[in-house]
Parts: sequence; C-alpha cells; structure tokens
Amino acid sequence: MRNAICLNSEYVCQRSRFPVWQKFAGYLDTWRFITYGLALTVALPLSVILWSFNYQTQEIWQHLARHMLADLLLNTAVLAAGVLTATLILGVSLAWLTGVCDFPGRKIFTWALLLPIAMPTYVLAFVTLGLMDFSGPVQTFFRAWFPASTGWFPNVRSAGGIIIVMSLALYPYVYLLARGAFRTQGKRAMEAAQSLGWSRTSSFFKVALPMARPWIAGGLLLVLMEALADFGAVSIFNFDTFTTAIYKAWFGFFSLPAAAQLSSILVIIIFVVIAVEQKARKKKRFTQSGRSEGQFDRIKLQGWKKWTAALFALTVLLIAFVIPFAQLLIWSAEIFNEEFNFRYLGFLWRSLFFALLASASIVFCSILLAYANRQHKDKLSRFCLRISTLGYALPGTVLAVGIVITITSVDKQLANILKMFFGYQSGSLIQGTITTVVAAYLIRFMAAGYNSVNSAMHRISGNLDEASISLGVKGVSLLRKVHVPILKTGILTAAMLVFVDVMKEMPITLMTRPFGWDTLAVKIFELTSEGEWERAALPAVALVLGGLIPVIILTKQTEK
Amino acid sequence: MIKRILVLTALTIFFVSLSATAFCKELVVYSARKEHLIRPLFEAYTKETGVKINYITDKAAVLMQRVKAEGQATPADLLITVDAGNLWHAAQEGILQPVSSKILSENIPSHLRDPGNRWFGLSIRARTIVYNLQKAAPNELSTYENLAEPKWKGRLLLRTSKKVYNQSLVAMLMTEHGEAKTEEIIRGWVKNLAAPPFSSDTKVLEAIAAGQGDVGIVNTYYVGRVLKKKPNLPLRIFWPNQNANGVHVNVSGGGVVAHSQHKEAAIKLLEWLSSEQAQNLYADVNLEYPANPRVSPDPVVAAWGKFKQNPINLDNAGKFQVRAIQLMDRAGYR
Amino acid sequence: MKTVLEVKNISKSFGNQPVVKNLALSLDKGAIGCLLGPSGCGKTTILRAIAGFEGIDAGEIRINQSIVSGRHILVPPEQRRIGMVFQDYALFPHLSVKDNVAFGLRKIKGKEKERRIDELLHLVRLDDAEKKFPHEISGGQQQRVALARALAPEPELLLMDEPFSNLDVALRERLSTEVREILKEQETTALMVTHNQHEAFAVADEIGVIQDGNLVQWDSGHNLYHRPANDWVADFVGDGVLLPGMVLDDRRVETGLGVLEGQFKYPCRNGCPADVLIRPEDIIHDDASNFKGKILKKHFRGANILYTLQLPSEDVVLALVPSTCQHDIGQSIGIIPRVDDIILFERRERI
Repeated sequence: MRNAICLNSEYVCQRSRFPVWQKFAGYLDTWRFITYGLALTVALPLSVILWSFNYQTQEIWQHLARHMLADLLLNTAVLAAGVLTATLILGVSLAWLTGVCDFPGRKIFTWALLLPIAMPTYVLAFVTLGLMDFSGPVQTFFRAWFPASTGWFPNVRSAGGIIIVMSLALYPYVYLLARGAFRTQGKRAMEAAQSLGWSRTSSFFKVALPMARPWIAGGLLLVLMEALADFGAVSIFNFDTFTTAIYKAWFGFFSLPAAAQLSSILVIIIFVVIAVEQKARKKKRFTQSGRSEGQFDRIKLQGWKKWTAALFALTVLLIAFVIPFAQLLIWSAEIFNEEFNFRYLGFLWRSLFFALLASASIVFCSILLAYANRQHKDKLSRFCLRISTLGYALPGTVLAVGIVITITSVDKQLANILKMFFGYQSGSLIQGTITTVVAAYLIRFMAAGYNSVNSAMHRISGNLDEASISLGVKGVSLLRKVHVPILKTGILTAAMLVFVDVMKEMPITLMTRPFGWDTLAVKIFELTSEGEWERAALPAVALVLGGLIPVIILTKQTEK
Repeated sequence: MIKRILVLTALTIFFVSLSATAFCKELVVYSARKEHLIRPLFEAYTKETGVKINYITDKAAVLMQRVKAEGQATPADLLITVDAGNLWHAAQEGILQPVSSKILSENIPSHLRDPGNRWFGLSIRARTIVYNLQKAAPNELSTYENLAEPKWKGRLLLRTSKKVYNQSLVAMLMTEHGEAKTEEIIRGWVKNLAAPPFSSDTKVLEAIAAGQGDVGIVNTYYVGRVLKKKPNLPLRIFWPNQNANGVHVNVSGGGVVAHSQHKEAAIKLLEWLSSEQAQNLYADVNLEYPANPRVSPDPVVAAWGKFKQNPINLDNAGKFQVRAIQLMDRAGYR
Repeated sequence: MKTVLEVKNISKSFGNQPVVKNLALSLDKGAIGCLLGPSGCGKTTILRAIAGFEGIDAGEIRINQSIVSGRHILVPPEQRRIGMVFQDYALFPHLSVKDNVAFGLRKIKGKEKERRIDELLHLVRLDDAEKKFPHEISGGQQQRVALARALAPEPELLLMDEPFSNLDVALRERLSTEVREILKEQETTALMVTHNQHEAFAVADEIGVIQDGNLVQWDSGHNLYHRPANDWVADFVGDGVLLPGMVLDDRRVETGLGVLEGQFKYPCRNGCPADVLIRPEDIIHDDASNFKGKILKKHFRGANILYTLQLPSEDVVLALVPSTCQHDIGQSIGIIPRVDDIILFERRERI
C-alpha cells in the first residue's frame, strides 16, 4: 500500500521514469530517512561508548572482579528486584483503586498520586535521609522521648532504605500506564470472570492483571532503566551498585574506556530484557477487538474496604510527596533570606525554557518516528527504531560523554570544512549552543516521548486514512486535520513526561550547557555535592513546582 | 522543498548564534570549584581589569574529558579543580601546559605546586580530625593512624572512600608508610566504624554531633560551615600528627590549558589569583587557608589555631590515587 | 415445572433517576425469555441486576427459590450460578479459545474437563478453533465461543446482553435460530435482552416489552404482535398504524376503511371513538376493488413492497403487497381491508 502520507517521495516518484530509479526512490522515502536519521543521531554517541571496547582495561576489570563486582552485582540485583516488586505492587494496586473502584477522595487521589513524578529521585533521597537518618528530626525525637529505643531504629542508609525511596519516586510510571489499561478494559473482563464463578479477587489476578501486562511491563521497563542508571540517589545513600563501578572506573581510576565498557553492559542488559519480554508475548494480544467499554459504573467499595483504600492512598501520597515537599519548604524557609536572590528566577526560567524546547522537539520527532513505524515495518526500520530509543538506558553522565565526544568531532569536521572552503578559522560551532543541549536531550529521552505517541497511534486505523483521502484530505493536511486531534492525548502525555524528565535532568545539562546557562538541576547538584542539603531545598522546591503543572495537566488528560 | 531547506538553514543559524563565542577580551574557565565560590572572585577580576570571564562548572573528570575531546579547538583557558589528584591527572593527560612565572613561584610554596609547573594550588584545605567534646577528649587523640586502634571501636565515623579527599589522604599515607602498613591502618579504621560511611563531610559532622560516633575525619571548612549555622554543636577540631609529619592538606588550584588561545591572559589571571588581594577572596569565602603564606586566613579560620602542615609534595596524591582506591576497595572501606 | 427465575417488583434508581419501576417476571426451567425495548429503557440494568452486578432498591430476585437480590441483600455474581454473554463478548484476549471456554470449569479437572470442552466446542461447531486466539477468529465465531464459555459450567440461568448486535444481518438471523436450538437442546433457562424484535421472536418463548423501566406486556411473540396490550406496544412491535374510528355496536367499528366487523373487547359499546390497529398485512391489494388508496410512499423489500397509502378519508395506512405488482407514487390502487383481529385502543390526540 502506498503511503497515505507521501511527502517528498511523491516528487521523486513522479519525476522518475526509469524502473531502477523508481526502486531507489522507494528507499528514498522520507519516512525511512527520518527513521535512519534519528537512529544515526542516537547511535553515534552510543557507538562512541561501544568503541571503548578497543581499549585495554584489564587491570581495572581484574581489580573490580576480584574485590567489588560480586557485591556490586548482588546489590544491583537486590535493588532492581526490590524496586520492581515495590513499584509493581504500589502502581498496580493504586491504579486499580483509582481507575476502577470508588472510595472517599478518589477524585483527588487520581491526580495527586502522580505528583511524585515532579520530584527527582535524588531530591527525595536527600530529603528522606535528612528526615530519617540518625541526626535527623525523627530519630532525634525518638531518642529524646524514648531513650531506651536507641539503636533499635532501623538503619536508613541500607538496601531497604534506597529501595523504598526509589520505589516511591518511580511508582507513578507503572501507576500511569496500568491505570490506562484498567480503565479501558479492566471492568468488563472482571465481570466476565465473575459470571463464570470467580470471586472478585481471583478475577483480578486471573484476568484483569494479565490483560494489562503490556502496559505494566512498559512502566516497569522505564522503572528498571531509571533504577539501573541512577547515580544521584545511590551516591547520597552511599549504596554501591553497578553504576558505582562505572563512576569509580572513570573518576577514580581515570579510565573512561573502562567506564564506557561497563556502561555498555548496562545497555546490553536492557536490550536483552526488552527482547525477552517482546518474545514472551509475541502471539498474544491484550486488547479486545470490538468496541471498547463506554462509561461504566465503578466498583463501589463498602465498609472497611473503602476506608482501607483511602488510608492506603493517603499514606502513599504522604510519604512519597507531601511530607518530603513539606520538609523542602521548611528548609527553604529557613535559608530563604540567605540564599535567595534574583538569579534564582534565571535558573527557573532556563529550566523551563530547556524543558519546553526539548519537549516540543522530542514530541515532534516521536510523531515522525511513530508514523515511520506505521509505514515501514521491515526489520531494518524496526531495528533503527529500537536504537533510537536506547538513550534512556544509559547512565546520564556516560551518555553525556558520548554526546560531547560526538559533538566535538562533528565540530572539528565542520571547522575543517569551513577552513578548507572559506579560509575561515572558527571556534567551536555547535558545541556550547542550545541546539547541542536540545539534541542531547533528544538522544536521551526519545524513549519517553515515543512510547506514549506510539500507543496512541495504534488507535488510528488504516480505514481512517483512506476515508480521509477519498474526501480530498491528504498529506500534511491529513496529519493536521485528522490524526493530530486523535493523537492529542498521546502527544500531550508524551510532552508532559518529557518536560518533567528534562527539568529533573542533571548530568547532560551539566555537560552540554552554554556558558552562564545554569538551571535549577545544576544548582541542586552544586549544593548537594557539597553536602548543603538545606540550601539545595530552595531550587528543589522551584523544580518540583515547575514540574507540577505539566503533571496536573497530564492527569487531566488521563481522566479521558 | 527549497522553502523547507531555507527555513531549516535559517533556524540552524539562529540556534548557532545563540551560542556564546569567546572573544579576545574574554577568558574561559572550566571549574570544578562551585559557582558560588568563584563568581565573586571573577566579578572582582573583571571589575579590576575589564577582562570578562566565562565559566562552566562541572565535576573535574567530566571537565577534563571535555577538554580532551575538544582538543585544539578548545575554548578553555584555565582549569580549576578542588583537589590535587585531579590536577596531577590533568597534567599527566597533557591537558595543562607548563607556566614559568616568577610571581607564581614566589606566591605558592613548592609543595603546593606541580614540580613541572603545570598546576598551582590556590587554597589549602586541611583534612583533620574532629571530635565530639562530650564523648572524647583531646588527650585520647594523636594521629590519623591511631584511629585504627581498638580503643576507637564503634566510635569512628568517616566519609565514603569514593570522595577524592579521602583518596588523596590515603595516597599521602601510602607515600609516608608504604602500601602494606597503610592497608593495615585502613582495615583498622573500617573495623572501628560506628556506621557505614557517609556521602558527605557535613553528614559526618552532624552524626558526630548527634552522638552516632565520637570522632571523624573531615575538611576543616565543613566544620566552619556547620558551626556557623549551629554554633552550639559540641564539635571541636584536633590537629593530628603534630609530632610526626603534620596535618594532611590538599589544595584547590588550577593550571593553564594546553591549547588555550589566550595563554598570556590566562597566566595573568592565575597570577592574580595567587596575589594577596585575591587570595583572601578565594579562600575566605569557603573558610579555607590561603596558599600564599604571606596572606593571613579569615579570623574564624585563624581561631582554629596554627598547625604543622605535612610538607610532602601534593603530586603524590595524584600519583598514588589509583593504588589508594584499590587499597581501600581491598580493605572494605566503602 | 420449576420456577428458575423470579423477579418480584423490583425497582432501581440511579441517583434521582428511576430506571426500573416495579418490575416483575418469572421464568420456568428450560424457558427462554427476552426483554425487548428501545435503547435506554432499562433492560440492560434489569439484566445486570439479575446477574448481580447491580443492586436493587426495592423488591427481590430469586434464583431457584433462593433470594439473591433484595433491598439489603446482594449475593455476588460468582455465587449465583449464572452464565453471561456480553454484548462485546468479553473474551479474554490473552487466552486461547480452549482456555476461554475452560475458564468457568473450576470444579472438574483432567479428562472430564477436556471432555466437556470438546463437547461444547462441538455444540457451537468450533471444533477446529481450539488453539486459536480471539483476535484470530471472526465476529460470529467469537460470539459462539462466548456462548460456549457461558454454557460450560452448566449454569442455572443464562443471561445474554444483546448478543447479536455486533454481527451483520445475515449472520444474525442464522445464529439466532442456532442459539435457540442449542439452548433447547441443553435445556438451559435463559433470559435475553435486545432492542431487535426479530431476534426476540427467533430466540425467545416469552417476551417482555419494557417501556421506560416498566414491563408493559409479558407474552409470547405471537400475542405481542396480534394482541398488544396497549398502543405503545402495538407501535413498537411490528409495523402498523392506528386508524381513528367510531364504535357502532358490539361487533362493528366504522373507520376510514369502511365498517369493520369482528369480535373485539372494548369497554364502550356504541357511539364512542376508538383507534383501530391496522397492520400492513390487513390490507389486500385487489385491482378489482373500487375502494382506492393513493400511494404516498413506497418501500421495496425484496419479496414485498410496503406502500404508504392515503385513504379517501385522508387517513394513512400501510399495505404489504407482493412486489410482482409495481405501482408508482401518486397512483391509486384498489384495496380490500381484511382485518382478522380487531384491536381497539382508546382514542388519543395525535399530532
């Protein structure tokens, strides 16, 4: 079937009369260009990192293997397992409660439970430690009033502590996606199962949950990538994971190649996990054909069940967002006079600016990619697509290095060209520009944008295209008048997710920003790396507030 | 089609022009020293000489990687870090170039600068022992090595071995005692820990003040900062090894970037940073000791008392950093 | 005969809106009932209440004499031993056809389970589809799987919510009769809900017409058609018009079609106005007749043509005429009224 949206290739198609040309023109398709182009952009920094395997780093590997790797891998496995389990339980249960059931306060909890997305994991980490560690107010209170309890309070700076903190920060990804799945098909499946004799609880586990599997898996994948690549929170907890080895190799042993090699392993693990999950569900479908459910009645919880549900949601909200945010506000208030000046407005403005710009670019590219995916499902295109979304899986700083090396090389080549053709000696052309920063964000966050847009894209059937064309609407107008309105929800979700992610992003911003372009995240980094957690509370509050607006808009969208 | 290309080109030019390019009357500094510490300094320099300074802050290793990647086209003129180990490494990698300057040689003592004149310390930070005066007494304390003794079991608190300050400390211990003995010392420390290592010195201090441990090793300026906020905390500084080689010190310092386009201006900046007027600005804002011995420290800092500095050349901190980390990993010091 | 389903005077409101009003019906074992009504009349709510997915505000529902729904009782669906076929089939997309059908077979295991699955798949003529997944079979096949799944655990009562609405017309007709055959063979008691009267007639023994939450008439299809309880039912079931007329005596009514003679029941006996139900088949086309009707509209239906005719009295009637005779709009054709059952309703002011 010829492309419904045939941009440039129409020009080429019409002009070419020779069969050879026509075959070639088929490949010159704009859509293929886009896919290959984006894949290349992402692949370059990745290949820089993979290139590190050319270097000799045996000594470092030997040292790591002998003294550290076993513990690191164990810690990483425990962290991953713990966080995945906790986010699964939290995300799915809350999604079910707010998506399909009714209980007091449900309407508020529906959007409020998404608020933790606005708070970076590293911020939640330092707030939690500040509150709960030995010298923090909670334990100090216990020691003052219950002296006998000294030594009995659990050690917060432990595997358990970091698992809880990460799970609270990351469950919203699973919550968001699971909720969408349950809203569209959860209740009907439950009723069918009940009519066949299964109790509500059994029905949930046998039917509603398995049917939501792709969405839940998608959320868990995002959580896994975040957890494995995280560096900020684990350093604050001084919890040694695989990422610790990466940074030790680089900062401590001065070996970027070793660090890059270790990072490649992370990427390979993620790749393998994705492949395994895809294969496992190859044959099955998870959506029903036929009409989706219209408005349905929620399951109204009664008696002790509804109060338990409300209490559960309230507790999660409190410990994941309200209490940490309150602590940040208190700290900010304490240091406000000393710390605040009008430069903070500059930080806030720059954070928002980058986030908006990146959000727009990434959503635009995601739409293009999703279309390209629709038109061409051949192996090469799909492979390129996979590559384009891998940036998310790498630890931020390592990816940043790959990006910087790529950009400086490109810069050098450009400078050479200019010198050769125009005799013009220039300094760096693209490094240290906003374009670079946005391109870097694109490489990093394509996955977040693409997944949302792509799932929304599934709702557009080919028939819609054909109906439109028969009415004379095609090409870019087709996109504009027909597809975009349908994709609106997916686009908005993508935009918001990317916006929040970019606002929280630290290592890439640090590495690629132009002079004088410090953002809130940069400021937080500077202060926390000095142990000045209280002072970091001020930019942290601004960051969370900046991220809140898109989160709330996001939830309004998910209600539909 | 043509229209689209034109639009794209226009946009590209627009974005490129948003970049900051370096002109002659401007210097570019890559700094691992935090922005709020260097900004007042650079503003003062600009006011005095009219030379504008553009700077980027980031972690030292990242900045060095960036300079390396940029190669000959690098816009950087000066590299500033917060410890000697990274400076040593920068010199090794050929990122810094030798500078022969009489002013610098006069202002900065020889053990605080690179023997090859590629980097110069600008402020001193002492890594010393701090104790809770309600739980330990000065007569119990003597040396860093002594903290490995069994009497300190369950009373010692340390910052993580991943922080370069501790790596430099251990590197210096290795220079003094050799690897085997140093490993024994570190193992002793680990045995005596009251809690797992902390991610920052500030947290170590807060924990000591709260009673989680009695004694710890930190950089002096953190003590200054913490006491400034809460003067009533029972924390005191102790200068160890006064009968031996002296207190371990590290420097924050910098050097001229090898491919700098403005070598002369960069040297001038460096010289100014070592001069008396700048030294106070540089060190006092962070409660550190000026590297220039002719400059007296901030009164708060001076109140901590005088102490004997360990005179071993700081480039050992860099030379032995990798071995020091390996040692700490073997000893189980996280 | 055992009464399997007994619905006694149930009422339900959503908020302030009453949806079901004082409804009562019952089904004996082996009987197939149907609730027929336009969209929004509350029939699906009634079905869901019987299933146990909704509660009721008043009255009671009993299955096999045990009370399952009442003002303060709501036995959950999984304990009612019902089977349900949903409008969109609700097949589990992640399970194969075989697993879908087996889903309700909790109490039996092993060989017996296999036997039962095979039996059902054979019953709905889907023996080959065992390993397929729902997205791999057609709509009609999915509907049969849904039926097999619901029947597998031998429920006391089978509930079907507009089971044929997602199928095309030809399939609908075929499957309606098939489903009836299957249900009769298995001696299943069933209650169906639909807005399509042809399905109702094809499948059910007894049909209840629901208007705005009220059960207006519960009767066989034949009686609904030929003896509607009120003019609304007359209008809803089948085609027809209500012709204004005047009752002359206990056997004669004067209308625009002339004087009609026959047995009828009507409270008033002479000189009162009434409306007469005239079905299209009550008008016979006879070229020889002098009584003419002018064609206003015609509607080709394959074997017949449905004409809308204007009588000399200005009243409008419908006539069903074999399509071998073709006439044009505006022509007048000869007709003879042959009304076998005279159904009278109270005269209403109509626009």
